[in-house]
Amino acid sequence: MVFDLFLGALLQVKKRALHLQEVAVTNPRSDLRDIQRQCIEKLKQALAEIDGLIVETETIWRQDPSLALDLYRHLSDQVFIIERNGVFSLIHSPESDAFLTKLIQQICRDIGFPVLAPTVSQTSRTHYRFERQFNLMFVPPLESRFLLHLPDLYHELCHPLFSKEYKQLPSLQPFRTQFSNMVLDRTQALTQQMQMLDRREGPAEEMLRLNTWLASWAPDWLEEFYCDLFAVFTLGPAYAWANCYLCLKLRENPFATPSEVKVEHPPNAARMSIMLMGLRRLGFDDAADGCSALWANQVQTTGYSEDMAFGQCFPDTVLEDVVSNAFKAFEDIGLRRSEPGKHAGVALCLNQAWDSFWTDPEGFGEWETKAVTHLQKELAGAAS
Amino acid sequence: MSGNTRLSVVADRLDEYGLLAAKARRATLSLTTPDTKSVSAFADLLEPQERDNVALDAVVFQVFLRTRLGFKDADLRELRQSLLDDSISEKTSERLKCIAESLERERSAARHRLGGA
Repeated sequence: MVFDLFLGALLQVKKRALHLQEVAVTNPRSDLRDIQRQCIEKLKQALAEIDGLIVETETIWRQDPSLALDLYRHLSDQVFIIERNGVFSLIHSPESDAFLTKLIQQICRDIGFPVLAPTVSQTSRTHYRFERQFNLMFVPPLESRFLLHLPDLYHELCHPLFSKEYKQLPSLQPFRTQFSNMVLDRTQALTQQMQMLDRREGPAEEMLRLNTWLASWAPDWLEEFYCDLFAVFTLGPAYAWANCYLCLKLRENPFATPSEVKVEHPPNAARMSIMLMGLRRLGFDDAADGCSALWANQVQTTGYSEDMAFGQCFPDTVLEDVVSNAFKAFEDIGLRRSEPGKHAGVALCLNQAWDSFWTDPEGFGEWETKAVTHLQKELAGAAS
Repeated sequence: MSGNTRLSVVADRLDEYGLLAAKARRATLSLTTPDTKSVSAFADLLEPQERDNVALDAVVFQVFLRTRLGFKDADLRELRQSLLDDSISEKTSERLKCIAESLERERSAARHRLGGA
């Protein structure tokens, strides 16, 4: 009886994939062609896998039902991901998405971005989110009317560089080599610490903590640090200000360092440290001083403070190494660095927005509305 | 910036590893179409890594095996050799099953946190 349910479920996945294919193929929006192509290609792959499993399903089930279920769940999840991300955007993206997609294309031209610019969809139910499988960036529904969070586009824009699609791309090899070496170095350093602790029969909690740090650093924290540094490198101070702004909305302890369970994001205090280091390397000392003072004040207001575990997990020497490594990776693939007094294009607009905000926080809303209108006209002109 | 991007990256990665592990397990069963490509791809993930010639997927997968399943260097060597020699012992099958189950648990948890079914 369970086999009947399993087989029926498998056939349902196939039916759903075929229906999704129908929706994707008939979508008329020309600005969503990239997403449409991705959906069609991924559904084709999923259908081939489903057909393969249908053919062998009885044999696999007889030998190991848990394996048959594993394979079914993978396929079911894959079809669900296509529906929830790709096809969802095809159906629900508002027409105003075109502005932000043009904006990100302009950013890519400004900074010498070496791969395909993502498409933007204003359908996020949370903050910004990049979906690697579809090269699709989700932002909140009214984001095209505001400027202060737009620096986060630069952070998200770094994620495609880690995409498996570009694994073999020759122009990205220096970037991949730098990053992979950094992951290996961090892995070896923490593994050595664990081996030393093991030899001297150190406390089990300490071993668990190191184990958790290793699982978190390699590669997730390193990739997040790279994305932060990418935004600092290509945009400059506006990204650090935007991070303070975002952290103001969060309730979590910015120094929280995991001791038992891996977490995907490094704590915000470590991210802020690395951004400030990056700004100073680029010569933005005044902005770094200002941002550092604001951050210290912000942390003090929340009542949190640095503890010993945070210092052990994120020593300045390691963070400085990450900055050197990441900046070298960005230079090696020809990205244009942000320099004091030399901003142009979208970076100029976003840094001006933050300057304007600090000059007159209360009057900023009016300035922002005019600036968005101006930016929309500029981009419409650039595209025509 | 968003935690959801990272979670989605983690889930995608676990999907890939999990599918590869499941396919490697499937290939060790006596089926009509033996899938040597999947076994070899899985064995590649267990290869020792050296600086300047790093396969990132392999480093990350080995970190997973060390931190979640307590694998040591010798365990990685032994499993890899067994897959390359095509001498799938009961111990190898058990290890593959254990890896696949662990990946499936984490994958499922990540997808659930992302709002999956």
